[in-house]
Amino acid sequence: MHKTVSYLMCAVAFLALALSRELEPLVVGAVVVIGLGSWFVEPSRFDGKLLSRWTLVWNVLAILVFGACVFNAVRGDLLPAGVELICFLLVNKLMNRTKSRDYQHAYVLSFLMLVAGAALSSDLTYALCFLFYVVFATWTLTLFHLRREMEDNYLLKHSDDAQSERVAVERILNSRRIVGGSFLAGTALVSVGVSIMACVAFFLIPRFGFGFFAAHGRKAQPTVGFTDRVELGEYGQVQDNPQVVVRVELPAGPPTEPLHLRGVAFDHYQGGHWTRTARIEATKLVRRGRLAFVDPPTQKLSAEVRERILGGALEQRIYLDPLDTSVLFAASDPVAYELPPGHAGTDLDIEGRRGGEVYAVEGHVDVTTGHVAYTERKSAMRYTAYSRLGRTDLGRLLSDVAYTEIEPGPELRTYLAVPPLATRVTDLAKALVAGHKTRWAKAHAVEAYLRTRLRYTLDLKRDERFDPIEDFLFVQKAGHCEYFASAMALLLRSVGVPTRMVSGFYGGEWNQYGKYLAVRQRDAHAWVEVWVGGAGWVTFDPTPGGAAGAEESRIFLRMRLLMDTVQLAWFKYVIEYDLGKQVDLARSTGRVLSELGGGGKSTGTLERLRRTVRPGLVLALLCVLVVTLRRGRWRGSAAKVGDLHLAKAYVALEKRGLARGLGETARELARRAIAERDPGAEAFVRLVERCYAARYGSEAVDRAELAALVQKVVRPAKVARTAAPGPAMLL
Amino acid sequence: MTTAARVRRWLRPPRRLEFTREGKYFVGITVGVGFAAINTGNNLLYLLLGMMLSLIIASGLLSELSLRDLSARRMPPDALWAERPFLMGIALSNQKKRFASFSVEVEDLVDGKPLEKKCYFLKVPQQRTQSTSYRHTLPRRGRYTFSGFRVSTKFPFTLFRKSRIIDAATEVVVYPALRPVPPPAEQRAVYAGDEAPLPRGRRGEFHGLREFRQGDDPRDIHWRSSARRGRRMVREHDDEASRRVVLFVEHVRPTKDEAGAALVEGAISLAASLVVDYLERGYVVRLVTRCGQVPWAQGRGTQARFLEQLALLPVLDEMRPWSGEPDGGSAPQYVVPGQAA
Repeated sequence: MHKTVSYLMCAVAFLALALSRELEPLVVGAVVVIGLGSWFVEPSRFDGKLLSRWTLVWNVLAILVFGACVFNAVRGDLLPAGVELICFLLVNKLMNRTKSRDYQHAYVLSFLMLVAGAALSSDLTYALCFLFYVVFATWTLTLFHLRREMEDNYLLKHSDDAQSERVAVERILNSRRIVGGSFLAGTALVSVGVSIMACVAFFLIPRFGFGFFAAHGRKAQPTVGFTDRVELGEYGQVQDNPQVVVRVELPAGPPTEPLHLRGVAFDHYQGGHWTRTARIEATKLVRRGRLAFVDPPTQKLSAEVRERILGGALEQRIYLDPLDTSVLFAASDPVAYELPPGHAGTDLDIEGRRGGEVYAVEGHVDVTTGHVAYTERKSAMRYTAYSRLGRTDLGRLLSDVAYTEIEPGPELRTYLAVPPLATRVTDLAKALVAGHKTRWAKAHAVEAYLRTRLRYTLDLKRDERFDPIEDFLFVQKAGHCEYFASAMALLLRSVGVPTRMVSGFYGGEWNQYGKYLAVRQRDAHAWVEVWVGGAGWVTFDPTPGGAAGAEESRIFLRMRLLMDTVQLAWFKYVIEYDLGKQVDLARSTGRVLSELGGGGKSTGTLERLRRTVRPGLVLALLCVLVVTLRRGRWRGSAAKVGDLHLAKAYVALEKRGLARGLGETARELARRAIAERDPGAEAFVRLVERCYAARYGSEAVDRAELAALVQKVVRPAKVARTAAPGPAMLL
Repeated sequence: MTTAARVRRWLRPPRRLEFTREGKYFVGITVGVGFAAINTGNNLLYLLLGMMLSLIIASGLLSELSLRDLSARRMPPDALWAERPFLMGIALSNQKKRFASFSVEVEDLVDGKPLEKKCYFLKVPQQRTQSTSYRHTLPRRGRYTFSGFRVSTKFPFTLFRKSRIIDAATEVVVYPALRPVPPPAEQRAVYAGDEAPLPRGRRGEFHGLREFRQGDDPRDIHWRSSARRGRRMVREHDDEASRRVVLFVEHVRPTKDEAGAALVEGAISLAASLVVDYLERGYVVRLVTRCGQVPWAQGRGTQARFLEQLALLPVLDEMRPWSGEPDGGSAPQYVVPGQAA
C-alpha cells in the first residue's frame, strides 16, 4: 500500500509537470517507461555483487545526465535543464529504493516537480493534479511515518526468557487491522480537510503584489491570421479547433447580434497573401487615467465627447488566452482600452500600432542608455475594452453624400493600392457600384453581391491558372471568409474606395453558466473595413452564413460549457487572484456577515441568503442538540455538576472527621454518616441520591437544590435552626 | 501532592512541541515557497504554500487527537534488582469514543526525567487498552519514584513531536544487586569469623525430599528416590540449630569517599545474596544492621522484608551500635565492606 500510494504521488507530480508542455516528449516517455519499470525492480533483494554493479551503473548515468544538464543550463536553457535533472533524480531514486530514506527523497523530488509545474503551467489540469497530490501525499506521508517509526525505533517484541526481536514491518503495514479501509477513508477525509484548508489559506494569505503576471508561464497557442503576413486559405486550418481562446464578459448581457472581435488589419494584397506595410500611421492612444482612448487619426476629440462616446459604448471584460500574437481584441469599433488596476507599477503597457490595432507590450529598460524598449507580450491577458456598436446616427450620416464623400487624404493611399487584377474583376466592380454615389452605398452593393451570389465552403478548390481572387469570383464561386473579405476589399479598391482586410473572431458561444461569451479558435474570421469618409472606418462582412457543423450532443455541449466556466473561474479567482481581489473579498465577506447579522441594508441576494441560512442554522443547532442529548453529553455535564457539589460535601464531612475511605462510594459514606449521627447526614443522603439520579438516571439537575443541600451539609446546625424537619432517611 | 509539585504542575504547559529533522526541513521549504510566492506573485505557489501550511495544521490537529484521552499505567515486576534487567509493563488505554490513537510513544518518567527506553504503540483502538513492556536495568538499589509518563507522537507526518505528561506516580524499591555466593557450608567457614563451625553430622528429624542443589552434602542424597525420579534428590532434616543464620551487615564506610561507599554497597549486595541463598535453602534467617533489624524468618515469602531493609539501608559515616545482639543458638555471620564473596 505504501509503495502504491508513493508511486501515485510521484506520478501525479510528474503529470503536473508534463502537462505544462515544457518537457520534451522523449523525456516524458523515458520517465514514464523507467518509472513504470522501477515498480518491478527491488534492489533490496539483490545480492551484494549485483547491487554494487547496479549502483555503479546508476552513478555513471547520474554523472552523465548531470553533465548534460549543466551543459544545457550554460547554453541558456536553465529551467528545462533543471526540470530534466529533477526527472532523472526521481527515476534514479525509484530505481534504487532500498530504505525508507529513498522514499523520502522521492517525495521531496515529487514536490519539486509540483513547484516546477506551478512555475510552468497554470492550466486547470494543474488544479486536478494538485488535488490528487494532496490526497496521495496525505496517505503517503502517514504510511511513511508508520513505516519509519516501526523500522527505526521501537517495535520490538520483549520476553523474559529470550532476546528481544524485531517485528516484521511489512506484515504489519499490510495488515488490514492497521491499514484497512477505515484508515484510508480517514486519511482521505484528512486530505479533504487539507485541501479545504489550503484553499482557505490561499485566499487569506496576504498578497503583497498582483497576480497579474502569473499567466506568463502559460504557453501560447498557435493560431493563424494575426501575423504580418496571411496566406489565403489559412483559416481553414483552425475551423475545427474548439479551443476557447477569448472569453468576454459583457455586463450588458448577451449580445443581440454576433460581435466582430477585431484583431489585425492588413493593407497590402499581392498574389494570394495579405501583408502590412510600414507606411501606415500608428494608432494614437490618448491616456486618461487607466483608460487609453483610440482617437480617429484625423480628429482630435474633446474630453466631453470622449466621455459621451464611452457612455454609449459596449463594455467588454476580456480574458485572453496566450496566443502567438499580442494584439488586443475588441468588438468593432473599439474606442478605449483599460488595463486592470494591478498593471500600475509593472512593465506592462498597451501600444497603438498601424491599422487601428492595439497591442500589449512590455517595457524593458536598457541599462546602458536608460531608454525603455517595448516588446510584444504574448501571454494571457485581462483587460477591458469599450466599443461603439450600432451608432444610431450612422445610417443618417452615411446616406448623406456631403458627409461621406470627403476625399481620402494621403495617409489612406495605402488602402487604395490595387494589385494587377484581371479585367473581368475590375469590370465586375464597376458594374456592382454603378449608380451608387457614396462609398457606403458602394460597399453595401458589393457586400450584397458577395453574400448572395457566392457560396461559403471550407472545401476549397483552386484553379492555378488564375489569381486566387479571380478564381474565387468567376471559377469556384465558393470559398471561406478570407476569400470573401479579400474579394470585397479589392473590388472596392478598384473603384477608389479605401478598404482593409481585418482578421479577428466572429460570434462565439454564450456560456449561460458563467455568463460570458466563449470565443474559440474555430471562430476565427476575416472581414472588411471600409473608409466611408466622415464616419471613418465601417465594418462590412461579405461572408454568407456557413454550413452548420456537426450537431453536438446536448449533454456534451453542457459539459463543455460547464468545464469552460470552471476554467475561467480558475483563471479569474486563482491564477489572477491579487491584492485587489483580496480586498474585495474581505469587503464582501464583511458585508455579507453584517447583513446576515441584520446590521445593514440587505440586497435581494443577501436577503435570500439570509432567509436560507438562518433556518438552516437553527435546524443545524437543533440537530446538534438532539445528537448531544442522544449521546448522553447532557447527562455527562449533569454528572459533572453533581460531582462538583459532592466534592464540596466531602470536604465538609472530612472536617468533621468523616473522611472518605479509599474506594468508599458516596452511598457508603452516607451510610457511615448516618451511623455516626453526623448532623449533616440527612442532607448528604439527599444530595447523594440527587447526584446518582443525575448520573445514572438521566435526570436533570437543579443546581439551586444541590447548592442548598451542600449548604446543609457544610453548616448543618445553622441550617437546622431554620429548616423544616427533613424527610425520613432514604437509606 | 506537595504545594511545589502542584505549582510545577500548574505551570507546566499542557503540550510540548518539538521539531523533528523532517519538520525543520518542511518548515524551511514552506518559508522558501512563501518567499518565492511573494517574490513572483505566482498564485500557484501561494496554493502550494496553503497546502504546506494546511499540512502543518492537520499535523497539529491529528497529533492532538492521538494524544487526547489517553491514560497509562505501569505494571512493574514483583521484584526489581539493581544491575539486573527487568521488564516493565506499560498499559495504554484509549478512552476516546470514536477515534483510534496512532503511533504513540510512552516514556516512563523517573523523578520527572524520562528513561531512555520507550514503548511504542502503533495503534490503540478506541475504548481499548493495549500493553507492552520495555526492558531496563536500574543501576543502584534504593527507592525510585516513577512520577508519570511522557506520552508523545509524531503522527501523522513526522513533522513535529507533540508530547504531554500523564501523572501516575509509583514508588518501587530496587533490591541490591545479587552475586554468586558459595554453598552454605563454605559460607560459614568464610563469614562466621572466629566462631567455631557447628558440628557436622547432626541430623534432626526427617523433613522431606527435595532436588539436589550445588553445595548439598552428597551423603544426603536419597538414592532410591533419585533413581525413581531420574534426578538427584536429597533428604531434608529439621535441624533448627544447624539451619539458623544471623547476618550482621556493616554499613559504615571505612573511608569517607566514593570508594568507601562503593565498598559498603558491595557488602550490602553480598548480604542480600546471602539472604536470598539462605532463604532458598530453607534456612531461618535474621538480619541485623546498625539502622534496624529483621527478626527471624524463613521461606521465600519473607525475602522481601530482608531485601527491602537492605535496599533502603543508608551508608553511614559514623559508627552506631548494632540494632540487635547475636543469638545464642546460632553463629552470627558478619558481612563487612571489602569482603570478597
